[in-house]
Amino acid sequence: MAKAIKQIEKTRLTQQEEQTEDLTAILKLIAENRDAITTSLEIIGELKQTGVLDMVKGALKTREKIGSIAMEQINQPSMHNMIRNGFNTVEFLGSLNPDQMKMMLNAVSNGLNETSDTIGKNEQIGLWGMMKSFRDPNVNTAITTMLGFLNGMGKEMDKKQMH
Amino acid sequence: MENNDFTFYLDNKEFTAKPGQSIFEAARDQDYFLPGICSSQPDLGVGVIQTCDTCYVEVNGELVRSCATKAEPNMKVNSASDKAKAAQLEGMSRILKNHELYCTVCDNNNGNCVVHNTAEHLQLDHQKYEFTPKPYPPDNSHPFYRYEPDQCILCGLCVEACQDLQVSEVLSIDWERERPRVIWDNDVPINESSCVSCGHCVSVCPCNALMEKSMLGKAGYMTGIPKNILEPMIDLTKEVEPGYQEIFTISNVEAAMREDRVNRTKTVCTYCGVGCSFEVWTKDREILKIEPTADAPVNGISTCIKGKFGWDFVNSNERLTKPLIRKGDKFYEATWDEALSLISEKLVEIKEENGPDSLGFIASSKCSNEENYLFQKLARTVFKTNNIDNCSRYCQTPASTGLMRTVGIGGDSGTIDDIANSDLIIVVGANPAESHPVLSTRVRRAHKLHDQKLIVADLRKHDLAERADLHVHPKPGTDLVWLSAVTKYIVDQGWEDKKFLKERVNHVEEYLSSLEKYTLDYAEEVTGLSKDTLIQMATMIHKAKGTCILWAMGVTQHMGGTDTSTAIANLLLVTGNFGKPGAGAYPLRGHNNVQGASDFGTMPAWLPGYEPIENDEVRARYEKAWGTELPKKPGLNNHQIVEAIQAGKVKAMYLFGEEMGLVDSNINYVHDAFEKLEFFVVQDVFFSKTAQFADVVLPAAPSLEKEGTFTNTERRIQRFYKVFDPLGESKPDWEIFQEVANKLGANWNYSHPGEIMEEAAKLAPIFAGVSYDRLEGWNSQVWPVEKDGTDTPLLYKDKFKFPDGKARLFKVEWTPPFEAGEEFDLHLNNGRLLEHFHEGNMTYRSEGISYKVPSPWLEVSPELAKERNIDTGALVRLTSPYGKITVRVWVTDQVKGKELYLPMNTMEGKSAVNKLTSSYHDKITHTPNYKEMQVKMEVLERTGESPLPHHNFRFGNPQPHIGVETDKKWKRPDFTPIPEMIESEALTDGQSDQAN
Repeated sequence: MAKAIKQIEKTRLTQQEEQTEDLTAILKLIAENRDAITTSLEIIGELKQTGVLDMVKGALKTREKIGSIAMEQINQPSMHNMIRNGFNTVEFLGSLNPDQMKMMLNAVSNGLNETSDTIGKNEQIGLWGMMKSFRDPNVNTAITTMLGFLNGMGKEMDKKQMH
Repeated sequence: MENNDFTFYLDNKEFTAKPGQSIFEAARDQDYFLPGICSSQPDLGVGVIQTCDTCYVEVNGELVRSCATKAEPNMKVNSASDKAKAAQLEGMSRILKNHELYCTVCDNNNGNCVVHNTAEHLQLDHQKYEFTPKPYPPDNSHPFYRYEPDQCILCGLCVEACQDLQVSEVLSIDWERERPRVIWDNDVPINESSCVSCGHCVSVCPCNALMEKSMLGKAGYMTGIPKNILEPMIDLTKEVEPGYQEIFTISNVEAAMREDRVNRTKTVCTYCGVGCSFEVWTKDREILKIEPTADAPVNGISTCIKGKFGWDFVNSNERLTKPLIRKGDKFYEATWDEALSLISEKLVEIKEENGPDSLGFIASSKCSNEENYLFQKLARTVFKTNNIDNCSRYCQTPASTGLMRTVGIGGDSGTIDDIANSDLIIVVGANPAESHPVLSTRVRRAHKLHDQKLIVADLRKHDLAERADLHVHPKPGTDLVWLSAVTKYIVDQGWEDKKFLKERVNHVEEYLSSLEKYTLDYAEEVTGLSKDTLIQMATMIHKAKGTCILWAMGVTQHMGGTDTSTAIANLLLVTGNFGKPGAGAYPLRGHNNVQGASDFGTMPAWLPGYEPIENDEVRARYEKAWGTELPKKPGLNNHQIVEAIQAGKVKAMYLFGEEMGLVDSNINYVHDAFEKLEFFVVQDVFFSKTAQFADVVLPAAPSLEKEGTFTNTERRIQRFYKVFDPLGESKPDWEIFQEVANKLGANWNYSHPGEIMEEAAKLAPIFAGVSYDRLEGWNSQVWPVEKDGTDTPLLYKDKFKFPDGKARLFKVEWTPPFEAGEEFDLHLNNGRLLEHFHEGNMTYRSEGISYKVPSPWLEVSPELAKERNIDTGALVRLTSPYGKITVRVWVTDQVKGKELYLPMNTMEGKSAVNKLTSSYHDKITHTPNYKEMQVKMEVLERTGESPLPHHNFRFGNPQPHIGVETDKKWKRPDFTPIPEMIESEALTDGQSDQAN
């Protein structure tokens, strides 16, 4: 003989029981991951000592404010240029032939070495001296390369103007 | 390669195509990617939509749309020529004028965003036309989804889905205005439209314009960023515009990262017998969305409001999470061990004192095949009783029985494809648009687009009745008479299928002579249908190449329910409508596993696979496998168990997943019986009305928290997978049964439902080839399944399920329906409604669904309302000889004259329809005659607040038309066809300043 009833007595754990249950679960996890946790604690200790942790905490607590300030700062024409230039530079670097680039950089490096020889000597060169230098095979190679470079650059510039 | 297949060349590669296939389809079928945003949903529309213009290819120097151009033998197609590329890019650029690409912070960036993937494929780098916002705010009015016009690319997939697949005909694109947009009805907020919240539009949207609100701010790592940071971030991205390729790289990385925390799990819907399957996307215990897919065998991308949006109950804080034990007038939480010990102790005690048949077991049509199998094994092997039944007794047993009498198998003759492809659909006593929503979409679509004819016989002018070629309204409970009269008329005209009858059917002469009395005159008198109407029905059946008859509770829940179901099968046999595609008998199963619960043996007279328990050979097979003797005598069914409790014979009951205390008929009588039980175990997800009578309540886990299979109305077995862990201490039902059995020393050792299915497949011949491996993912099997895995989507192709392979015509007599007496002057019809499932224990826990339908109502005809001087909102009391209820009124012309309709969705007693119904029942199966009741109505308040809020779809204003009407787009003065533009621009120069 059982009438319909609706009352349900829930066994409510006391706060302390609940805490004990939670703590046991956590302790178990800690024990299982002892190494990882010790290492993490060491890292956290270092971060605290250097003040990084405080900084991060501050930033997190005020994340929305900082976020909108940061976005305001970032969303400026100069910043746009910087990012665009960044992208362009990355793209530029990607488009270079590494072998050519290596040769060019070596050449520039060597050129700079020679430059350091002439720097400080304050030597002047006359038109004749210059003409004579062109006959130097090294200089001639460099100039020819430069002319090729200027040629390519000019072609690309013309292409852009046509549009 | 099939006979007519041919070869053509695409990008210099050989491709095979079927006759009639477009270039796009042939490429897609061979996994060759052609861009084509509006072709991303092949199930939709009348054909090709042609709105996105990204699929251009070059054929003989001409630019053509690959979606709209048929492949031809040896045709040479180029999708990568400069010209084709330029055209595709132009199409994409026009789309991006309407859509901002902020993918990384977009909730739709989940790897499957069609707009993203197409733009990426086209290697689009910069936007040719500037994006400009549309002058419309986002529409956030609907509880489940939003429309953001600024992101809408006007592809019209949503419109196609709404107009031509779901066929609710709510959405359209208004091409006439300066900036076109999608509108609902005649341009009202979504929430006030006729939108039925089925979710089709949201599911097919190829971007983030239409999105589930549950996704917003949740899916991505950065999508939850507050607006004041997000907007400048989007601005910044646009400003620096490094080129879309870089954006895509970042968004692809982010999308990949999402895979770590967004889980996608296949499940099978539990809200009706159609058997929709889809993915559940979750993050921890949160449901982000339901994602249907074209791979789903029954529904494809279709869903209804409950399947798409109705899963909040899983995380409800009202879920049962611990076993409860009654002590005095309170329940106390207990441990599993305490609860299981008490159960085993009490059940054994009662069994030993009063014999095994003093126990009753009620199984669940909501739970899995494996769980039903184990439950009957528990009852039969551990407790030695066949007193076991499931709730198909309340709905579909008469239909099954009618079919077993005539054709031999109690299930649908074919699949949803046969229904979709049939020439003529006859719906008798069913409201598929609300009870089997996705199945009804196939009928509506075929009727709208493919000239399928539709006859509806129903008291109510419901959705399908409204659309039907012929809606007939017979007097309640007289279907058998008009069905038989139509059959007789067909025979009298010589229209019967003589060859079929001669070769494949027994008892023909005997049956035909029994039809003598069903003359048109007699039928007209009994049913109220005119002779002309009856002749019209017969003629339509005669003219149709194939006829499918769909029926449900309007037929079965009568005292003559089995006989009327038999009359349907007779009519189909006489006209040769079995064993061929597009024809047959389709009892529409109400719950997700009504079919499976019975299939797997929770019935008093049958072991799994409909093998009689009385058959010694069959029983011996099970006894050998289970290592114990089984009781031979068939047990009691649901109805008889309640009677036996009243008679003091059944003293204890174990019930799972069934709200018997609300859904059985004459519930006052049932409650009285529950009170008489000495011991009662109820196992459920919620603390149901039934649980209030229990001694022990066990917390069960719903389908999303376990694995298993369901069998839908087509006899299709589908797997569902575990989405979440069981909540609290709740457990899957099969685990609980195993623990109960093992408490009593059964020593069961199932570690996965797959092992249970393996056992069932070994024992029941009709499931011989069923296995979890073969059901992996979206695969399914339609039983009977042979050992090698061959299944049977269409029954009776060669023979009927009788020893000689022939069907049997079966004589039936009409049983006049129950009459309550003269003072009860109004007929009470009852049943389901779209938004809520059954009594509502699950769906009322969805805030959005409860907002759309907060409470039940009583449908009253305008004539009756006028006569009683009441209006929508009036409060009335209905009284039958068995009880009374109070409910508020909705005046609607869906019901006629003195007929009322009361939905069954109430979790409380005061409006519960089954306080009014009786304990009379179908003569053969004991299914209650829910649909045979008369009541009297007293007015308590003449006016009041409408029980149905204004923002319910029933008050909307649909705008039917065919598809998205792309021609209107093409007629706009600012539209230039892409080929024209490309030619005039002399190819690839992308610097045009054209306006579109």
